[in-house]
Amino acid sequence: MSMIQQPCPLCGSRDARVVATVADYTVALTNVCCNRCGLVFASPFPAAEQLEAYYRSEFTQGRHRIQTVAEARERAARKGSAAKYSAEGLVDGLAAGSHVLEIGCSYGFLLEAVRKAVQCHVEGVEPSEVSARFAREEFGIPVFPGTVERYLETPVTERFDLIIVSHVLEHLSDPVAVLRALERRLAPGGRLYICVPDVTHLQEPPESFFQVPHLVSFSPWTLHLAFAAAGFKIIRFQRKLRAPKSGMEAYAVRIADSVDAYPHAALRVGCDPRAVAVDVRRAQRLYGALRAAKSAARGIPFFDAERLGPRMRRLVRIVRDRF
Amino acid sequence: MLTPGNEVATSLAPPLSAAVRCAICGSADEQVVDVHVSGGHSIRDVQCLRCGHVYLSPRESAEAYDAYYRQQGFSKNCNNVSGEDDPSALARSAEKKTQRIYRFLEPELRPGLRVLEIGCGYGNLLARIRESVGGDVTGIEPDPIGPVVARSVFHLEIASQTLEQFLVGWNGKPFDLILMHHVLEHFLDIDVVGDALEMLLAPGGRVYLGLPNVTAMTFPKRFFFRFPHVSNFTPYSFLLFLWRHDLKIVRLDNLGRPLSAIVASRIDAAPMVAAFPLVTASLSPGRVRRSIALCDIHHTIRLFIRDHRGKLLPAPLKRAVKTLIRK
Repeated sequence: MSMIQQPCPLCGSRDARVVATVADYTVALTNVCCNRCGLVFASPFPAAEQLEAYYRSEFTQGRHRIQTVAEARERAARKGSAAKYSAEGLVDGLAAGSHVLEIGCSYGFLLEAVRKAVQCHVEGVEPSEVSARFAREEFGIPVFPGTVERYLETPVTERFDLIIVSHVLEHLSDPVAVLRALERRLAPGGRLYICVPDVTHLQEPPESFFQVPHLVSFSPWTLHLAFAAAGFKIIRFQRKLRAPKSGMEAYAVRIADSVDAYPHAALRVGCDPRAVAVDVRRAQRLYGALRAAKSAARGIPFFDAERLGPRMRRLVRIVRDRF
Repeated sequence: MLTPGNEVATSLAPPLSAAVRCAICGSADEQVVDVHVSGGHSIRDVQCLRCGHVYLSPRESAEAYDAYYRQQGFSKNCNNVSGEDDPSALARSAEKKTQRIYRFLEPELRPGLRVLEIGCGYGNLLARIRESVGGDVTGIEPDPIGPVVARSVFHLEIASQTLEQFLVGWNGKPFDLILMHHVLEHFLDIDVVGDALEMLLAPGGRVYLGLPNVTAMTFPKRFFFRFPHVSNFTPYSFLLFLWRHDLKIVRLDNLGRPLSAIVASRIDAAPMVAAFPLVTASLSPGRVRRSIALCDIHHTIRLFIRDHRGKLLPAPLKRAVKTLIRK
């Protein structure tokens, strides 16, 4: 995979500090934190064409080892995927007959949950061929087969009351440009729902958190700045979410569309790049210690290391949340 | 600085004495920070509890502000200018300020620049730039006294018009440097300015913005909370305004004083100034109240010393107290 050196996708600065270098498959991936705005991003980036090819075939087929729709169906049944997705919160204030778009809809479970909760029209955008086919065949959801950038090149024919961007923004090389383009596709008074991992609150080892497709990693502060730059404001915000959402979620509207706004002082988490780098290093040490404890436990006779795992994870979560 | 004959300003402006929402985040959640009556106007400044931006609410209509500037309300009430003042004396009164801004601007200046100053006053700064690097300088000022002084003292032609009127007659040639010294806080709709800057700025061009910093009040509060100051920016609300219009700060003056910033567009290659010390200091809404309280204490002591210094303090002690207060 050929990589390109990029300035900060949020502020354009080239002044950054390294926060983590991890190996993802055969690629050594360096993530840096912008010293000007605090955004964490991969530097260098993979080239745009390579990313498109990666999402078309490799993301689902390679990373998740799903080759066909039948395999996807079998995996969904095994994991109970349909039950994991809930439209709670998303459908607040959404009337029957509304139009909902999900960017990166994957297998379409979330859209189906929204459609079931409110009788609305749903559409999706999904670059993975297998996932898009699954959503079409299983739920009959119209899905644009391509990246969000390709979708945004198409003429605006419809405006949406709700646009869902769940765990997608961190995959984009220019998130502000995408948010600005989505603003043009939002109906008057429409809402944007964003869910992204929180780099100031890592819920998995940095080796898993910083992976090739994650080009940018947001903190509450940088997510807020990205919204502000695109003409949005956050009206609802929540951090420290557990799976399947995991990370932080925000509901945003156009600045003039509502008298409501989330208190900005509460969104300052991650505005100091030094603190962000310290957070990541602390998580690295914590998960490193957990891994060492697990491998040491495997050597103890009559000790079931598998039972230790969940307890240790709970302990790590307590330590991380407390300090 | 909005005037009639200007459809953009009139359509966007609120009706007479209307309560308004925060121009930065659109919120209506506010707390009052200052209420007083000045120059026949009732002044009520509120602070947005969501983003900390301070603004006048309720406020007069665009027509009232237009009449205020057209009838020299700003120069008469705020600068104490009367019809009989000597133009040279008026121009001289702004000279110290001009030198300070010029020193800050100097690294950006080069021959052949196209310069626009919005709200140029008597044209001191434009005249100084023209004298040192030449170039094509343009100034606009809605107060009628400005063009008169500029013509007689600096032989500089300044258009007596507002930004919106200027945009209507603009020939489409962009500017390399746009100057706005203590002007942004006067606009009823700051987004009109943001859009105009995006439109008027040449690629690689720079904007100079100087404005009062309401979280570090270096003057008595009556200089901040007054009729023509529709907005009072905190460093954070200033940053959000710039961010929304694709602009970034590439050079910054001392934050303790009124904010002075050289601003460039986001696509520009110049590095942005680190934002976190700027914003963390001003993000909390309590910061403005603290600043007002400190300002009150500071100026009470200052005025007391001024009035009693001869009787109370010997000269060295007076100097020491002055230094202490400044710190």
